[in-house]
Amino acid sequence: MPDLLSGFDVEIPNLTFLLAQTTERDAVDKAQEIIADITALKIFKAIVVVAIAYGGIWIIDRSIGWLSERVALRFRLAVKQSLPFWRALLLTIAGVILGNLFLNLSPSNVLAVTGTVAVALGFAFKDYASSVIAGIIALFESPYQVGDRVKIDGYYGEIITYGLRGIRLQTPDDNIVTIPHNKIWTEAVSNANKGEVEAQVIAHFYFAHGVDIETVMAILYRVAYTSKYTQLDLPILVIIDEEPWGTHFKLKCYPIDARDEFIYKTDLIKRAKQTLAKYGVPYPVLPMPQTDDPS
Amino acid sequence: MPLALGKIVEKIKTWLPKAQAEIEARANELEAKFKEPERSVALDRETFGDLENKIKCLPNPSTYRTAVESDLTEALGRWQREENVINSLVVLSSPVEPIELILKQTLAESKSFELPRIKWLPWWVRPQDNTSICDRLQQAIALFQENASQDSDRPQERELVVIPNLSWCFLRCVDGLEGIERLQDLVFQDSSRFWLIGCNYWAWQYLDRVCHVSAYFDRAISLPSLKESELKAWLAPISASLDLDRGGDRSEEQSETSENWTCKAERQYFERLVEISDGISSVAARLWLHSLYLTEPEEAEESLDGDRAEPRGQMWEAIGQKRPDLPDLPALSQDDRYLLFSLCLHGSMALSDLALSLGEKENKIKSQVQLLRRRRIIELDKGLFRLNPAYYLQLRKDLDDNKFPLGENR
Repeated sequence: MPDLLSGFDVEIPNLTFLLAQTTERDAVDKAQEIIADITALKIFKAIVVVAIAYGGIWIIDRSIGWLSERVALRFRLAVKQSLPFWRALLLTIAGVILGNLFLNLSPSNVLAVTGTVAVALGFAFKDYASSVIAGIIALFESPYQVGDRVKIDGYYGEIITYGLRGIRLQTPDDNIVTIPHNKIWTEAVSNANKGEVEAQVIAHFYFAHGVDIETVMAILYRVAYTSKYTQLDLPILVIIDEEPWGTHFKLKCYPIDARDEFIYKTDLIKRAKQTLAKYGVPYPVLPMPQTDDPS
Repeated sequence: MPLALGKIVEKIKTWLPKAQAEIEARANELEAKFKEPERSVALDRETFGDLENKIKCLPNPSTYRTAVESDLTEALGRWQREENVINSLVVLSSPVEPIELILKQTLAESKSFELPRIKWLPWWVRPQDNTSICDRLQQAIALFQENASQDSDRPQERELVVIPNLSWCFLRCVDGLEGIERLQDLVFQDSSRFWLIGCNYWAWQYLDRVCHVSAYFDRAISLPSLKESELKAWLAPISASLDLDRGGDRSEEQSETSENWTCKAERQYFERLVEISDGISSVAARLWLHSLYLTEPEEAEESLDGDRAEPRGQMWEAIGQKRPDLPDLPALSQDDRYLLFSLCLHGSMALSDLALSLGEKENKIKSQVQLLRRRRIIELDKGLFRLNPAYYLQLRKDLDDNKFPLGENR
């Protein structure tokens, strides 16, 4: 093969370096091609789209909340659980419109840019992306839904919002706790009602060892059966455990509406104690703690 | 195939507007028949109260009496002939029906079977002290036994014990179910008596869940739903005394008279009444009352009372009757639902019993009761609160939608 370059005094640079430079230059060119011309009109349109999306989400939240309280109890949770889907739909539509405004998306453009940009974005937003993906997975796996009473990461409450990145729990103390979706990768989720309107309530009672078991069980069953809150279609059970210092009774039953969970428990304990007082049922006497006496 | 589909679509397209027009014409025709005249007003308090009292004095629908009598005859006959057969019959009704009066009338007027000695529950309203129900039941049965042994003419005759309303024997509170348990013991120990018991569906379902009453009284029948002609026949003694103006063109309707109906408007009225009342006599009677109105004279003074006119005596013209309709159930809170459910469970009850059944103090529920009274959802009758029958069906649906255990077959 003839040596085409013989006779010429030419410096041949490192080929790899040249290729890298070319790729980088191409990526920058492609990135510039992807971003469409930004005009004042487009900015205005974008602001309008964002405002409408924000307002739309607000309206959806209020409407779903209003509707869920108007429909029959049996449909309440189904209405609430549709909220994430409506939000996702609205955000997707807004995202597509904004994307079309500011980006010239074509297969070659996207392919060229994702290589460099994706790596940078991935590191910055990895937790956010993990939460978003976990949220999408959770929509299908349903470890929790809006209206469920769950315990995650030590917090117990009712899920009141299902957002893109996380859920919001309303605790019994009326605190709102935000928990990112990616907790489901590593934490156990304890769900008390799993989409149902009823959730079991357990009322604990402690008595001395010498207590008349049959009498106490009969009273506790009667207390549950005569409560206005009790859902009689679901089982009522009294379980007994022995502790070193006394006998532990657990009354397990369900309210008609899970939102009455705490007032129901209060009602059970109140009426049980009134009745137990008439029978003179003995409570346990705990041993006094021993202290170090210097003398 | 595409051609056939096209023809079907064409046919639907031509049929649909015609059907729609036909429906609209019928609806307009009905509306015109039952439209109130422009100058009309609801019945005044005096007339309303008067008619209400007349309805209360009506004998119960003969359909009810016939149904109870036929089942009781069969059950009693078998019990008297055979050993070890069911010795009870429970008659179930809606909570707003006067089941105790239905049983009373049925037994008083029954001629079709020979009755053994009849013993009635010695009280006709829930005892004030619910803890005394158990003792009082025991005393009543002891009294029956004493009377039986003293009657030397018929020492071996079996007895029919009637509990006209089982809800009088319990209260939904911790101490309030002992009466039912005592009753179960009595039935278990002694099969020499036949028990006829009246109860509402909701109480029966509740007691079955809590005390398993159906194991002791396992034969239960329901009161039948009334038909149009039966409702008309029942209300006839009162409606005949009123010259009811139903509107419409009488001359056109004369040609549509039949054995049961004087005119088409009358038939349509009672068909509608049965449909919206579900064939329940007390609901139908209340809706019938609400459908009446007075035509206002030309120069009437405006009434200060927005709800009802003050009595005008001879100034008012004919009483008219509009299309019966269910009143709108006002929005209820969850606490209202608990209260109304308790009321329907027990039929009618005093404020103290209502408070006990809700596990609350009387003071706490007084304001709630008063609000419900003002909205006319509940009524006070001889010191006892009860549900307004006109709201029964909508309340039933509302409670069912909110997962309250009702126990009624629908």
